Amino acid sequence: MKARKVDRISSLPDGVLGDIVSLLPTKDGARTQLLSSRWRHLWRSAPLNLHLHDDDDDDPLGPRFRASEVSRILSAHPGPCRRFAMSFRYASYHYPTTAAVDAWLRSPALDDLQELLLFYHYPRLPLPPSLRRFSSTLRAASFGDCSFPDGNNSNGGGALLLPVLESLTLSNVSISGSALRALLAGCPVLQSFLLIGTTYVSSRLQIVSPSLRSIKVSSYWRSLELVIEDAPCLERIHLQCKEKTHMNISVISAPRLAILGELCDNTPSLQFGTTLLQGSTVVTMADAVNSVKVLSLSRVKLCLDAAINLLKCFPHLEKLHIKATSVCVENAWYQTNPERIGILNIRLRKIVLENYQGSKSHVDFVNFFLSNARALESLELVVRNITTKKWIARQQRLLHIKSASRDPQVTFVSHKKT
Amino acid sequence: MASEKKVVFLRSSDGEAFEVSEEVISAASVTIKGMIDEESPSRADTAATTTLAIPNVTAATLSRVLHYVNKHFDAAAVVGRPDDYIFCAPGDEHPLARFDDDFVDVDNDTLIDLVHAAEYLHIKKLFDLTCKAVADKLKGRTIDQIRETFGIVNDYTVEEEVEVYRENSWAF
Repeated sequence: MKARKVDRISSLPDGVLGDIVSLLPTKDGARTQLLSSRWRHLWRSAPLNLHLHDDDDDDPLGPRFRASEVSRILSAHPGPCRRFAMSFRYASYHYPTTAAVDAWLRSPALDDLQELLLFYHYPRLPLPPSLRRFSSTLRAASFGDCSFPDGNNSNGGGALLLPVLESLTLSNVSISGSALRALLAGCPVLQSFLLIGTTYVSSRLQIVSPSLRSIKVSSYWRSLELVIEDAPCLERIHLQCKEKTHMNISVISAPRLAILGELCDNTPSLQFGTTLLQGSTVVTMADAVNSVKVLSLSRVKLCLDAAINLLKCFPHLEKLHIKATSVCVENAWYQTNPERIGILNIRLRKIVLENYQGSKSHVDFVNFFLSNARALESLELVVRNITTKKWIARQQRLLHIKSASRDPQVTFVSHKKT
Repeated sequence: MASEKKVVFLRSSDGEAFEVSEEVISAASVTIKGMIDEESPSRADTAATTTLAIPNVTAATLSRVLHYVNKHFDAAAVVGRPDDYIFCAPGDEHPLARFDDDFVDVDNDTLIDLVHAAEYLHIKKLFDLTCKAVADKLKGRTIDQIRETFGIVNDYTVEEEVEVYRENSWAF
């Protein structure tokens, strides 16, 4: 007879099992009550995770809800609710009305809500007025396909105030420059701001935030003009754009900006005072940007000229991350023409080079850093999975490992999964 | 003078002792930091190293926990602040994301032991990681599959089972 497996999971304390149950999608969480009597009360005593997607990218078999079910869940669970996530991306027969959404948000189970995700679909609807009741508890908010009314004429009086909000995502929203300014002004402890997709704006967007540490902008086809006007705590700017996106970013004051990316061959256009970059190319170099320590380049041809100019523009760079394309350029000139380099003090400690192909152009590029980056500690070459040991041994002979810098560690890594 | 790094020894429930940097384990575990703080007046002027008994955690689990702790909390081993995704290069995955994935890719019993240990030692990041991993094993499964996987015995009477089912019919 097969020995019965010992039930270890049910021996976890109530609080722990409750935490686990509240990490599950809503239906999966509620179903655990049927496992055994040990599990019966857990779902109701643990915080509710109300996760209503009709198009869940993570899980195509994820929960599908009818609007009518939501009220049932909200009355079945006494609260509190850990997270309310509702994404109805496509019009469908069970698409809720704005009034229904507003009524759900007024449910007592949602008192003190900390995390909210609200994704509408076209046409962009204004945010429900009941949102204001979470203004003193919301720590993370994501809004998709909504419209933000201009500052002073919004219903319910004035711009949203979210005094404890730390993370804000706006996806495909319609917002004007003045509405964004008002929104950010109402978030005094905001740490991270994500702006995704095509953003419909009536004017350029300005960022003024005393607390913001990280901003990510991901734009696909429209043009976007963003001015980092005053962000004293901003440490990280992450830009993602397609070749044809016209993304203009101007940084006026971000004295602590340490991490910058991803610059492609031609996009985005980035301006630091009078220094101008078009993608990874330095167009006008006036003042160096001394605060930047980590730079990432994406889909760029591996070009030594461009890299040297970037190192002059960001003289305190410690880490350089490059996703290279297969395009080859002549990179051997520094051997015969060293005066062309000019004055350059390389402080790089780490280089990661993805899509290293071992061509002469790539070998010359890497060898420049192996012989000139004296502080270099590690060089990671990410190569394709099919690479053989013999190929790597040949590359190791071609690369001047152990030359200028004390002892940089050169590693070959096969291409990451996904 | 460059002070030598202080270490402490942790003794598992089955008697094996593990050495770990006091600074690293204090940053990781609220429970052990509390134990060290309690001990410290008595050992301020002795050179003897401290051994702390961890009665609820076996050697096998403790060694896994310390592997995690050394990866995540040893500031000297990683550039920047490892806890903070903000310090990875844009477009880069978190440097420890793959380590974490592999760390929880273990059998159910080992995973449950890790949840117990993370809870007892009060290591929040490890607790969150392991609870998430357990949740992933429950997600999208039927009740029978979950019972089978974790050896949960259905102790409901037929009437009770029907009642629980009826109360939550919207979830099925």
